[in-house]
Amino acid sequence: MSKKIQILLIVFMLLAAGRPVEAASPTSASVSIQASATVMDKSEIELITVKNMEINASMAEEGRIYISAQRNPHAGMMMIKGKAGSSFRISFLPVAEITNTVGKGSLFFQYEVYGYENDNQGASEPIDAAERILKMNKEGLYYFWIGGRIDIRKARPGSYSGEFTIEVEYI
Amino acid sequence: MNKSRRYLLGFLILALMQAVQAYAQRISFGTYATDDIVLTALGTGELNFNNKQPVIKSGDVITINLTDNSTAVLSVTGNRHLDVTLTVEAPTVLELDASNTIPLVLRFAYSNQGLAESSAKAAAVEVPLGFNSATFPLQRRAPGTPPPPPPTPGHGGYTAPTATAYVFIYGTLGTVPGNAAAGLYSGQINIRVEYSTYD
Repeated sequence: MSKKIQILLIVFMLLAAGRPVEAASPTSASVSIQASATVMDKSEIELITVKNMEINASMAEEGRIYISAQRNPHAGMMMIKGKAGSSFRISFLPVAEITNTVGKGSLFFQYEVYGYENDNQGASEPIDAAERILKMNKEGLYYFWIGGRIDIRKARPGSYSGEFTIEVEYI
Repeated sequence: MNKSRRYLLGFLILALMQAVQAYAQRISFGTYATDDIVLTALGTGELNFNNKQPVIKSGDVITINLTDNSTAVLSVTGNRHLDVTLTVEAPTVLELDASNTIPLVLRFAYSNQGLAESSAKAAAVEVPLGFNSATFPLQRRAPGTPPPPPPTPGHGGYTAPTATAYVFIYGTLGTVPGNAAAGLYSGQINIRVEYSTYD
């Protein structure tokens, strides 16, 4: 083999060895994905008691009091303030024990809850304790009215007080 | 004689040029050079903790488990007979800005039993916490069988059989600091896969 050919061969081999590897074939691959989380301000979820439920014995008919959540002006009212247009569900105990604050005894109150996306009690719809999906309005508000039934026939004299707790969960 | 000198000069210049290029290269993959490997992010191509818990606020810890629907899913397709090394590089925090961050601990699992994507997760192998890479055969060999013969080297007109393995990425975000500002916290997870050379 002549010197000339030898040199040409060396040059050719060097050129071949110098080809970029990536261009030949992908023997590795990579990809990026995004990890993310949108954090909300705590104040974006607020449950506000607008009005407490007021009951007195004079409302009783045959020893039973019924406060219609949809119609009675004495019904309690609550409001949720949150993210506009977001869906949520609520849960609550439908029966609560209210206790006599000045004497012995307690009574059981059976709650009735109605809700609506605007401040319009008459248009509100019944919400049972089962997890029903509700939606906040454009201002991020939703309204609840709380009424219920109570039997005071066997109640001891006194002043009764109890709490109604509602849990709100975004979905 | 004069002609020989001219060629010699050309050779020296080329050799110098090659030295610079060769520095950036690694030519150690031998016979596997012709087998493509494809890594694809499936679905939305993201790991979004809001998919697990829509409302995230201060004090929360959100864990996306392997069994959850919110895991990020990727597929790796390549030569069925080869092992691959998968490396996951993830940030330790998701960041809104320099002063607002949330701790992030990621994990990953792979499923290489040749199953469809829908059933691959149930058979996935979780890589222990703290490891950011794993080497596994692209298709798991049946247990109790002798090792297969060496794969057929690439040659003209030959296409190696392929297999697809799935990779699942999941983890824990939080605790969200009490003073965390509201907003979108994010971070980039880089995933790389390559044929194992066992160098």
